[in-house]
Amino acid sequence: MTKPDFHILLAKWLEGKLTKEEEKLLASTTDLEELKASLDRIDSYSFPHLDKDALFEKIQKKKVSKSLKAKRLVPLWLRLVAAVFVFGLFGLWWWNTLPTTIVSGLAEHKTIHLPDQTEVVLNAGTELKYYDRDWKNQRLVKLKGEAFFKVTKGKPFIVESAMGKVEVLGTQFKVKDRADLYQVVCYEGTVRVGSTRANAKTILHRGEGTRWDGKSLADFKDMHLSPEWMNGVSSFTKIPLEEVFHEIERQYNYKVSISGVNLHRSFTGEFPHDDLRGALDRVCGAMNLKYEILQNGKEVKIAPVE
Amino acid sequence: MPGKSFVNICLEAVYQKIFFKYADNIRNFILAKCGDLKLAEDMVQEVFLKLWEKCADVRFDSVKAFLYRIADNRLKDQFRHQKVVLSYRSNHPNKDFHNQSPEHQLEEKEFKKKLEEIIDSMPEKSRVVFLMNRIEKLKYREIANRLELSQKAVEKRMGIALEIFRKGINEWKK
Repeated sequence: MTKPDFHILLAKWLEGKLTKEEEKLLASTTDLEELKASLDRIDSYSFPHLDKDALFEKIQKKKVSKSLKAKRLVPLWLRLVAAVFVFGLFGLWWWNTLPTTIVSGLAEHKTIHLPDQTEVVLNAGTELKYYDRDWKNQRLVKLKGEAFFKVTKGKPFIVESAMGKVEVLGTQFKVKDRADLYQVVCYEGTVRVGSTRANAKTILHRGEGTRWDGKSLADFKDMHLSPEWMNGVSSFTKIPLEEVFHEIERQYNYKVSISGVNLHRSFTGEFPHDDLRGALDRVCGAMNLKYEILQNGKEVKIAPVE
Repeated sequence: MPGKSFVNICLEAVYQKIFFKYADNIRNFILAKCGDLKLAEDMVQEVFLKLWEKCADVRFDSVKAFLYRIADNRLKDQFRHQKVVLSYRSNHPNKDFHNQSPEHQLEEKEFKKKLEEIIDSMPEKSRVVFLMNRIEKLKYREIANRLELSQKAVEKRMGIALEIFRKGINEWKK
């Protein structure tokens, strides 16, 4: 008998799994009875006692208590794919309901066409929002800044801004809504203007404009065929200096620093978009101010003439 | 048993049940390997905490093998080995130690000492199987299941242990 067989036989014998022949064979080399008797003595012994309750207590303390975990019936990779898919779908839906935002930078005019071929020209530093998806139902845009609109015929076209709401039916007009300045000029057709600051409404025809004068909407005449800023010039009629300098900043992308000047003073006149010195000459000359164009970057300093 | 594999081990009640059912076995398994009672108890905690950590990933019908496997892995770095010290079963029906005569008591004590020495002299793999079979009263098939071995492998290890025991007891009796 080779050694390995012997060991297995011995083990099998203990469980009573040997055939009579095998047992005979084993007994011929081993005193099985004596072995059995000795093995039986081991029954008197056990492993030392274990205090399971105390041990479990210790474990409970160490356990980070977790909320009930669901059995992973679906493999992890599949759950990830499902999550990405759902997120993707949601993202797509959400993306589609977002408004389209057009922004013109400083010293930049931007022309865009809306889904109905309406043309919009944005003056510098202007933001326009419209809802692409919803365009067939409602022609609504939200404006921050100044823009010229050439609206195609169709459903009522509405321009909402902080200070007012303009409603038109296929026409050409401009809306200016900057800081406390609100101005609408109609170049073609008819425009209905409502103020958000007061219960004021007005209707404009070609050549007519309206502005917010602090209390209500004041009408004025404007014979231009289109906004001056679309023709390389910014034009003002009794507009606070502050706004005038802001417009210089926007058109030239320069920072204007002013000290010691009353910025509420009204300015009437215009300045070109292509000549900073010329522009500053016009404005400062009329208001008795001096200016300095700094070499460091793009900065202009304004101060009163002593 | 198709239903069993979906039993949720992360449920406190289930986890507790598993602990109370197998804590002894795992502690004994570790003890059989390293002989250190304190270490064995600490390791049991680690093993069951690991089970808790992985409770969502372990199938209920392979929990036993999982526990032994973790315990086995944990011990791989332990080099220390002490003698396994057994306890006298106080409630054994046939043998009450204190009712025996002093000579018998002495002889029993010497047997115990010899037994522990013999067990200590066994190779680890055989020692573990021997103790699981003789002390924990587990059949070879069950041992094979828990240690993820073939039954033949278990029988082989047991056979080696039995041979060592036989030789050792024979020497002692002389």
